[in-house]
Amino acid sequence: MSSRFEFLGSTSLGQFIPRDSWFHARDPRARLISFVIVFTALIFTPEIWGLALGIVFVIGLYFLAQLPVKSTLQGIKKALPFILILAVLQIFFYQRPENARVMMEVFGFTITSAAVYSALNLIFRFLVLIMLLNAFVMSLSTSQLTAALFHLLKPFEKIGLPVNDLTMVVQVTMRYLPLIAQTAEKTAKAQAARGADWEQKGFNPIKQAKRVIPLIVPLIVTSLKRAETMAVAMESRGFNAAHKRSSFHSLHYSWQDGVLIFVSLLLSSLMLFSGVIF
Amino acid sequence: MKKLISIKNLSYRPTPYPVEKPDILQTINLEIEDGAFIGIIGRNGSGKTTLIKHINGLLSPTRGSVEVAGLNTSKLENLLELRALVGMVFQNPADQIVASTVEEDIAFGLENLNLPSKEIQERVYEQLEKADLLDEAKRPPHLLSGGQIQRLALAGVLARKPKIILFDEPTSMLDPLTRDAFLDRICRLHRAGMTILYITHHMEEAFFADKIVVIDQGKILLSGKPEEIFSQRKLLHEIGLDIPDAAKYSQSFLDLGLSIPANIYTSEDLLAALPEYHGEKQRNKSKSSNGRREKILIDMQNVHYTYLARSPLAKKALQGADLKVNEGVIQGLAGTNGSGKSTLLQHINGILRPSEGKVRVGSFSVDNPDTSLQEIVKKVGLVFQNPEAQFFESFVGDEIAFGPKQFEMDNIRDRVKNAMTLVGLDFDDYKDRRLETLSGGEKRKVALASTLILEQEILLFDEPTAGMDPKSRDELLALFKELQRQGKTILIASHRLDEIAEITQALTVMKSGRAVRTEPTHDLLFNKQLIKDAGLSVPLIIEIVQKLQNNGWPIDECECLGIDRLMDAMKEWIQ
Repeated sequence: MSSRFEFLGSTSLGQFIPRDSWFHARDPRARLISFVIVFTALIFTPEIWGLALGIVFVIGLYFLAQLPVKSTLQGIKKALPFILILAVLQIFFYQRPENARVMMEVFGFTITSAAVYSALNLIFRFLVLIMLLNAFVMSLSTSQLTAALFHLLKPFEKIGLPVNDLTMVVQVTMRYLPLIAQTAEKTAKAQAARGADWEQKGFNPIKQAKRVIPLIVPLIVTSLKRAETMAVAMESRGFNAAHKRSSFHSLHYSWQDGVLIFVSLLLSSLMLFSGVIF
Repeated sequence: MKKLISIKNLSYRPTPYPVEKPDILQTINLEIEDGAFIGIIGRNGSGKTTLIKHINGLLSPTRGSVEVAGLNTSKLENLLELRALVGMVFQNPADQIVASTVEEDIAFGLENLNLPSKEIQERVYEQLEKADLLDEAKRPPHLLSGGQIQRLALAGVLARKPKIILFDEPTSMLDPLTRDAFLDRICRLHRAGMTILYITHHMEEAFFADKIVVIDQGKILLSGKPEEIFSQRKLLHEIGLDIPDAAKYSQSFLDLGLSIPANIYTSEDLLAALPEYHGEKQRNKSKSSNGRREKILIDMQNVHYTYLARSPLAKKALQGADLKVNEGVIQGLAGTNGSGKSTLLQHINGILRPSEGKVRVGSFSVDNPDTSLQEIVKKVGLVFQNPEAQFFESFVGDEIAFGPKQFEMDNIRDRVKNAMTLVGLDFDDYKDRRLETLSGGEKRKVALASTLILEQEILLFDEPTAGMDPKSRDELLALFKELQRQGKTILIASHRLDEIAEITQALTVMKSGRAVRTEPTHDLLFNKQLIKDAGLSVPLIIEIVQKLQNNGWPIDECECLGIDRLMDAMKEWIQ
C-alpha cells in the first residue's frame, strides 16, 4: 500500500535512470536539442501521419536508451482522465466547417466526424508527448541538463545574458523540488499526528483543498529558511555571480551526436510537412 | 607559531535589530595560530555561529576588526581570497548541498575558482575517494544517509584546499559510529596542519581541541586548554554547560573517597584509573523481583514497509520488524540513522500503514486501512525530529491549540495552560508571543506542548535531544520521567544509548529495518557485541561498571545505569 504522504513519489523530476546505452552516451547538448526539436514538431504537426512518425521516434528512443515503459504507463494512467475530458470538450465545441458530415446529435450538440477525428488526434498527441517527456526526464539527468544549457547559452554571454546566474537558477530549482516535496511530506505528517484529518474518505474537493492550506505556510517558511542557509553555504564556497565560473563537465561533441541531431531534424521536418508529402 | 586569525574588539548587531536587545557579539578579542584546533562551546543562541561567520566574511563587524592571514575581512576586495582560504561546514548537512548530484556538488566550489574542467574532475574524484563516496558519485544528495551527506559537505570544502575550516555543530545529526569516523577525519586534518574552529554541544568532542573558547551571551567567558576549562565545573554549570561525562564520573569517585587521580577527562583515562576491590564479597541480598503484571500495549509483528514503492527510487525501510511495548514503561528504540526507527514509530500512530505485517496498538488494528487515523491519534502522540520546523501558526497559543481544535475539544484554554506548564513555559508570558521570536529551546518546548496537550496514553519521540545543549537535554529527560509518573507509555527513538540508558526500562535495538533484540535496558546494555554490531556505542557508565566488576567489586546485582545508583552500590562496600 502506498502512503498518502509520499509527495516525493509524485514528482517525475529527478527520475533519471543511468544506463549504458548509445543514447545516454551522446553529448547532453545533442540530446537536449534533439528533444526540443521533436517536441516542437509533435506539438505543431497538423496530421495524424506526423504523430505516427513521432511515435516511431519515441519507441525507437525507449529502445535505444533502454528505458522502462512501466513508469510511463503509470504517468499516462494519471493523466488519462484529464486528456479524456479535453477530448470530450473538443468533440462538443469543435468549430464546424460548412460542409461537415454530421454523425449524430447529442443534447443539441452536433457531432461531426471531423470533431471526432480531431479529438482522437488530440488524445494521440498528448499520449506521445507524455511518452516523450518521460523519456526526457529518464534519460537526461538534471546535471546534464544544466551543463548542456550552460554550454549552449555560453555564446550569448557576449550580448550580456547572465548565463552563470541562469544555469545556477535551473540547478538550484532542480535541487529544491525534492526538498520541497520532503518538507510537504513532513509537515503533513506532523499535522496528521496532531489530529488533522488527512484521510481520503470519498470525494470532497473542498475538504481536500482546505487541507492543503495549513501546509502552505510552513512550506514557504521552511523554503525561505532553507534558501537562506543555502545562499550562505553557496557564498561560503566562493559563489559570487560577478566573477567567472568554469564547469565540471567538459562536453565533447562527436559525429554521432551530429547523427542524432540530423535524424531528429529529418523526422521533425517530415512530421511538420507530412500533410504536404503524403 | 604564526598568527593566522586575529579578532580585535569585535562587536556585532544585525540591522534592523530591536534597540533594547544587547549586541549579539560584544568586544570579542581572540588570536588564533596557524594549525590550531579551537573548540567553541556555549548554549544555544550564545553567539557561537555569529562569531565564526565573521572569519570567512559572511558577516562583517559592526565595530572592531577581523583579520585572516593579514586580510581584513570587511574589505570586499579581499573576499575572493578569503573564501579560498576559509571553508565552512554547517550543522544541517542537507541545507548546504547545492547541486543535484554528489560529484557536481563537490565540483561547485571548484567551478567558482574558475579552474579548467580537467582539474575539477581530478580534484572531485580525489575527494570522492577520500570521502568514500565513489559509488554515490552520480546519486542525488537527498537519497544519501546523514553520514554520507556530511562527508560530502566536507569533501566539497576540502576540494578547494583551504587553510582554515569552520565547523558549526557538524555531528549533531550523526549517529555514534559515523560521528566517531567524522571526528577522526577532523583530527587527521588537524595533524596534517589544517587550522580548525569547531563549534559543538558535546563536551567530549570539545576535548579533542588544543584550546577551548567558552562563549556566553556574546562574550568570551573563558578560554584555555581543555583541562583548564573543564576544571571550572561550577561556572560551566551556571551558564548551562557541562563537563565531559568522564570528568563528572571521576569527581563522583573522588567524592566517594576512592583514590583515583584528579583531572581525568577522557573515558580511557578513567577506565584505567578505576580502583580494585579486595574486601569481603559475601552478603545476603535478596533480589527484589517486581511482581507487576505486564500488559502488552503495542504489538507489531513482521512489519514491512517500502518508501516510493514501485518507483526506480524505492527504498526498503522495514523488513520484518517486530516490537512489543508494555504498558507504562519508557522504552528506547536505538539504532543508527537509516535503521528504520522513524518509519517504525510512524507505523504506531497510523501515519504509515504496513505493506505487510501486523500492528496492534491497544484495541486498534492499525494495519487495517479502515482504522481511522484520527482515532489512533487520540491514543498515540508522535513528536517528530526537529518538530519546530513544522510550525504553521503565528502565535504560541494557537500552535499549541491546533490539536484540540481538530477534535473540537472543550476548555481549550485550560488545556493549553496545562500543557505549557508541563513543559515549563509560563502561560501568560508566552501564549501571545510570536513563534519566530522564541529561542531554539523555547520552540522545542512549544512543539512538545502541542503534542502533549492531546494527553494521549502512548507517546512517541523521534530523536528528541538532537541539537540540544546539556541543560535543555536534562530538562527533557526529567519531563519523560514526569510523563511516566502520570501513567504514560513512552517510546523514544535515539541513536544515543548514553542518553536513554538511565530513563528507559526496556530497549529495542534496530538494524537494517529489523528489531534485532528487545530486552530490559540493563541486560541489553551489557551485550557489547550486539551494540557494536548495530553501529551504536556502549555508554561510558556500562564500561565503568564492567571494569569495576573485573577489578573485584561485588556489584553484579546493581542495576547501575546512572552514576548515582553506582555510587550507592559502591558505598555499601566501602567502610
